[in-house]
Amino acid sequence: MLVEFDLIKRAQGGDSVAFNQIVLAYRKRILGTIARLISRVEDVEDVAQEVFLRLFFSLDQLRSPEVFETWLYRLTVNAAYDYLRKQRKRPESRMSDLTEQQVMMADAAASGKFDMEERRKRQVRESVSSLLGAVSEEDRILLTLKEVEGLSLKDLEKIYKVKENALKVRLFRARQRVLRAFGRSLPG
Amino acid sequence: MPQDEFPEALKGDSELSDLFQKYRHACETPDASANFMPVLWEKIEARQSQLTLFGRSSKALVTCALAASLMMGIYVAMPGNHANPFYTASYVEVLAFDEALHAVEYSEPVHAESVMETQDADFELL
Repeated sequence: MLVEFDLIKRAQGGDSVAFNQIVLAYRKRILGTIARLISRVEDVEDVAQEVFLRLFFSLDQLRSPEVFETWLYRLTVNAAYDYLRKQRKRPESRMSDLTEQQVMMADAAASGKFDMEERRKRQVRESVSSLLGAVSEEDRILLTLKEVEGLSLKDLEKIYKVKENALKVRLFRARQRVLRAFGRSLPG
Repeated sequence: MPQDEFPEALKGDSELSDLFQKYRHACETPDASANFMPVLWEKIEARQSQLTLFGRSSKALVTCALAASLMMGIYVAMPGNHANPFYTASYVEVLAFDEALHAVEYSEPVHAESVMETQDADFELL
């Protein structure tokens, strides 16, 4: 836990200073998780704000501060899922969607200013993003939480409220779908 | 999708896991902008005002519904509004009135034996 239980209880009681401290403590972690879940840098902050917005209005429903992190993860997953579903309707990326920084990065990449390491990273991001984009939002989020975020099956069990065996089956099927999607994308 | 680095690597499950690990390292955690907290609080306040507006509208609606019910109750209870006499009578009174309309005179049922006996008596007399 990044914060004391007492701070959560104070925030539940309507203490905005306590809520601010919680946001500051978890902001970095949530931004990172969302960045890996949605892979669109310019929207990460917006989705993270949506997570904390939902947290603010649902904090009074949290029965025990012990399960706060699971609760926050669930809110993060739900917000990312909602975002990805909206994005599914407009999957094409247009230049007008890109931030100024991304346009500069794209220009720099085009003119060969990027070093090899950065190019390799970008290639990995694009590859995985493309792979995960070929499967459902549910598969994408589940695989990212397990394989990229490194959450254990026990953690996922708490977040999804699903038995471990059922999760294993879902994970296996999701992996198979990703591998099939990759197979389809290969020429010939 | 760039094909130069991964087509061979993705033939198995373990290769997929490796790719996910590379992805984890390739995704840098973005820093929050200076506007993160102010914008968050703006959004919270906007949502709160929406909820407050909704709550006020709901309360106003409930109040209007109660007032309308009360007025209808008063209107129904006012004695001058009972123009139709049918509705002035109670259910028991209406039933009693209806019973009286359909009531028939009391008559003793005719018994076959008593008729026969009468006929026999008449025959003996003859």
